[in-house]
Amino acid sequence: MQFLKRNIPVLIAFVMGIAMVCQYYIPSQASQDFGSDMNIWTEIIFAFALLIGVQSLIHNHTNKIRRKQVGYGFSWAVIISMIAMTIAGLIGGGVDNTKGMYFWMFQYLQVPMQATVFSILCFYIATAAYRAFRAKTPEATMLLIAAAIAMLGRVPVGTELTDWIPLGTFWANLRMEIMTDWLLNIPNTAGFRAVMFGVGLGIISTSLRIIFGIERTYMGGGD
Amino acid sequence: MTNFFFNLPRQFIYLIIALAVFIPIILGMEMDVIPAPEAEAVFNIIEDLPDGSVILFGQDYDPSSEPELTPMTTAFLRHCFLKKHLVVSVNVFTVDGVGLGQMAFSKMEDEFGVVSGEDYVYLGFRPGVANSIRAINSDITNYYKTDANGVPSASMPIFEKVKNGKDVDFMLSIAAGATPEAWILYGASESGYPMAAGCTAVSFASYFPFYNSGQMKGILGGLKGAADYEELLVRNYPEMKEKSMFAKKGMVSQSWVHILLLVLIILGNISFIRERAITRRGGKA
Amino acid sequence: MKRLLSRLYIVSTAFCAVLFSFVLLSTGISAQEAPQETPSLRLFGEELVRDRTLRPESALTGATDLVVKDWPNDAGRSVCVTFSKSDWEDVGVIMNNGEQVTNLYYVVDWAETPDGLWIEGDRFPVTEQFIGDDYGAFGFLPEGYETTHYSRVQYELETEGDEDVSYEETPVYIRVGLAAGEKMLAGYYFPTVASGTSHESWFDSARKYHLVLTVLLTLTVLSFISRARRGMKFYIRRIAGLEAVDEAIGRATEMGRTMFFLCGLNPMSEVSTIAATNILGKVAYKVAEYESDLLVPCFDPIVMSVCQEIVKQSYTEAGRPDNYNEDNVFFLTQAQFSYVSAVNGMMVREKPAANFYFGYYFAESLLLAETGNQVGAIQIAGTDALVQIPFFITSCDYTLIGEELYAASAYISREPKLLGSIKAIDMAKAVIIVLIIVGTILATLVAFGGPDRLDILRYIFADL
Repeated sequence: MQFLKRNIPVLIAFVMGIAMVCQYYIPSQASQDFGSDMNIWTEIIFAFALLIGVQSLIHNHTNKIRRKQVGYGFSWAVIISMIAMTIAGLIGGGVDNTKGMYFWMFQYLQVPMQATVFSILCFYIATAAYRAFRAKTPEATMLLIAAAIAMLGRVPVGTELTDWIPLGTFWANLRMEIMTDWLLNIPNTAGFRAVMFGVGLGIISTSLRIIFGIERTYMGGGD
Repeated sequence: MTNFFFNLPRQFIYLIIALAVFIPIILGMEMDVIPAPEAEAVFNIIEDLPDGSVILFGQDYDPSSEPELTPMTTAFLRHCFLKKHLVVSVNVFTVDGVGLGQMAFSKMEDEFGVVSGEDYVYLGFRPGVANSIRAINSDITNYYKTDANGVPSASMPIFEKVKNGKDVDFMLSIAAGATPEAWILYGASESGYPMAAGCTAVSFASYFPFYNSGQMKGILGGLKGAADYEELLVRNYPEMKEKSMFAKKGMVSQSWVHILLLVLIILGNISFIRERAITRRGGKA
Repeated sequence: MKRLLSRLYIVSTAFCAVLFSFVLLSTGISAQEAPQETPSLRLFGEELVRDRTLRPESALTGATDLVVKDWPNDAGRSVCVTFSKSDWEDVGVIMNNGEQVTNLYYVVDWAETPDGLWIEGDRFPVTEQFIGDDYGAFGFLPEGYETTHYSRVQYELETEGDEDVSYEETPVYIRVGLAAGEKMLAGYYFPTVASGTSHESWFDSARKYHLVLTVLLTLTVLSFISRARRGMKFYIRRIAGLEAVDEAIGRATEMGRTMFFLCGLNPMSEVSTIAATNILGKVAYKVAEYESDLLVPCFDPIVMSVCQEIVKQSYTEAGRPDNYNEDNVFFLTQAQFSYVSAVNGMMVREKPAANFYFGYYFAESLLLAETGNQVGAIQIAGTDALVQIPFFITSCDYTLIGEELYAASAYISREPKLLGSIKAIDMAKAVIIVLIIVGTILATLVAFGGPDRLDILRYIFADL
C-alpha cells in the first residue's frame, strides 16, 4: 500500500517532471507532440474531475437538507438551479443558441448575479480604506500620498484639478495624470519586479522539491 | 456628532458610496477624459495597422467582470471593424465567458454587418490555457474544429488568411484573470506577434513590468481604460459619437467614488490622530 | 423524506454522468464530421486582389543577395530568409501616380516550384526586422546586424498520396516583393528567387544559457539539501504570520468555533496551489491534535480530492483518524463569485474563529477577507498574487508576501532538507541582485555611447 500511495506517485512526479523540463529544450516535432499529448491528458483528467466535483456538491447539499442544517434552504436553491440550468441547456441548446432558454438564463440571471457580487468590492474597498489606511509611520504617509495621487490621476475630476498647468513645461510634471503615470511606471514597476523575482525563485524551489520527492505533503501526509 | 464622523458605521459608508455611483448614472452626467499613454498605445497600433490586418482577441473574462470589461471589448471591436481588420477571438479563461463573447459579436453584427467566419470568428472556450494558446501558434483549425456556434472552422473563409499565430498582426487579451501573462509566455514569445492587455482596475498596476519591458505594447486598465479608448474612438471617428459610450458615463461615478474614498481616508486619519493625541495625554480614546 | 433525498442524490448523480458522457460523445462526433471545403476569401464583401497598376516610378533593386536557410531551433517546416538593406528603404519611394510612399512593406512569398503557386509567408515594414533583433536565431550582434533583414517563413508541402514529403530533401522557393501604401494592394516582386530546405532541431540552442542556469540552480538546491541532511544548521528569519498559526488554531479551539482553510482559485497544476496544500497538511495536523474543526471549501474538484487525502493523512498522523470527516473538505463551484458568495455565506453563518487563505487569489480576496474581518476571525493569508497582497494586508491579521508562501511549509515543519532548499534560493537571489547591478551599469554605458557589445547580458538573458 505504501508503495502504491507513496513510491509510485513520487516516481511519476520525478519522471514526468524531468520529461517536461527536457521537452522545453527539445524543439523537435516528437517533443512538441509529447507536450501536446500531456496537455490533452490534463484536459481529460479535468473533465472527469468535474464529475467528482458535481458528485461532491450534490452529496454535500443533500446532506445539509437531510440534517436540516442552518441555511439548508440555500441547498435547495443550489439543487433546483442546477437542475433548471441543465434542463434549459438540454431542451434549447447551450450558449451556441443565443435565442434559447439557457442563453436567456445566462444573460439575465447568471451575468447580473455574478456582476453584483463583484460590485460589492467597491463597498468593501471603501470600508477597508477608511479603517486601515492610516498614516501611522512616515512610510505609510508616503504610501497614502501616492495612493491619493493615483486615485485622482485616474479619474476626470482629478485630472481637471491640474489641467491649468501648461503641457511642455517643467511644471507639467505636477499634473495629476503625469504624476500617476510616473508612479505606475517607475516605483510600482520596481516593486512588482522585486516581488516577481522572489515568487519566481519560490516556484522553482518548490518545483524542484516536488520533482526530487523532497516535498510530499501534497500527496497526503508528511515527508 | 463628532464621534459619528470619526467612527462612521459600515452601513453608512455603503449608503454614500451607492449614492455616489447611482446619482451620476441616473442624471446621465458625462465628463471629458484624458487618455492615458498606455491606452493610446493600443489605439495607435490598431489605427496604424493596414486595413484587413489580423487581430487575435482573447475575450478572457466571465460574467463577474462584465460591467468593467465589456465596454472595453465593445470599444476595441468597434475600432477593429471600423478599420476592417479580421478578428479571430477565443476565450482561454473560462467556459462561463463564452456567452459574453457571443453577445459582444452579435452586437457587432448588428452595428457593422460583419459576418461570422468571414470578417470575424469566435471560437469559444477549450480547457487548458497553455494548450489553447500553443495550438493557436501552430494550427488554429486543427485545434478549434468548430466555432462557438458549432460551425466547422475548416470551411471558413477567414482561415484562408489566418492559419496560425504567425499570421497574427496584433493580439489583445481582455482578461479578468492572469491570462495575459500566459499569452506572453506561450503565445507572443513563440509566434512573435505584438500584444497588449486589457484588465480590471485591480490588476492594472501588475502589468506595468511587462509594459515597460516591451512585452506588452499597451494596457487598458478597468473602466478608465475603456473610457480612454471610447474617447480616442470618438476623436478619430466622429460618427461614433452617436453610439452608446458606457465607460465614459461610468467615469463620472468613478470620479465621485474616488473623491469620496479620499474624504473617508482623511476622516479616518483625523480620527486616528485624535485618538493618538488623547491616548498620549493619558485620556480614554 | 430521507429516502426521497437519497434517491434525488443518486438520480441526479447518474443524470450528470449520462449528460457528461453525452457531451463528450457529441463533441467527438461534431469534430469528426467537420467538412473540409475549400474556402474563398472575402473581406467585408470585397475580393482581396493585388493592384498591379500601382508600381514605383523607377525600377528598384532589392533583395539581390537573397539567402534561404533552415530556421534554427524549431520543429522544421520553416526557413530563414535573409537579404541586405536597400538605400531607398529609409527615404520612401515615388510611385507611378506621383505619390511618395514611405510605409512600404516587404512581402516574402514561398512556392514548391520556382514557377509554381506563390503563397504569402511573411510581411513586414521595410525599416524593421534586422538580424540583430533576434538573438535566438542569429546570436549576439552578428555581422551586418543592422543592415541585413530577416524573415521566418513557415510552409506546408503538398503530400502525394499517403507518403510524407521529406522537408529535409525537398527545397522551398522564396521570392521577395514590395507592398506599398495602407491598402497593401501594390505587388512588385524582385527578380531573385532562392531556395532552401528545413529540418527539425533536437536542441534549442537559443535556450543554452537557460539550461546552464537551470542546471546550476538545481545543483545549488541539491547541494544545500545535502548539507542540511548532514546536519548543517540554517538561519531562517522569523515569519510572524506562520508563528501565529498555532495561536489562531488554539483560539478557535478555546472558543469552540470552526476554522476555514482556502487553497486559492488556481488548479492543482499551479505551484501556488501545491504550496497551499502543503501548508494545509501542517495546519490540519495541528487542528487534529487540538481536536478542533476545519472546513476546506474548494474551487477545483482535483484540489478537493488532494485536500481530502492530505487532511485525512494529517488526522491519521496526529493519532485522531476517527475525527476526520470527509464532508468537511468539499467542492463548491468553479464560478469565481459564486464561490465567494458561498464561502462568505458560510462564514456569516458559522462565524469561524480563524481563516487561512493560502494560494492564488483574484478579485475575490478582499470580499473574502473583509467578510472574515467582519465576523471577527483571526485571519492569516499568503499569496503570490501580487495585486491581491495589499487587500490581504488591509483585512487580515498576518499576510505572507510572495515567496513566503513557498517557504511556509518548510518553515512550519522545520524539516532540514526543506530549509536547505530555501537557503539555496537565497543564494540564487544574491546572484540575481549582482547580475541586475552589473547589467544596469552595462546598459547605462551603452545608452551613453559605449559599444553595443557591452550589452552582452541582455543577449544571455534574452531567452529567459
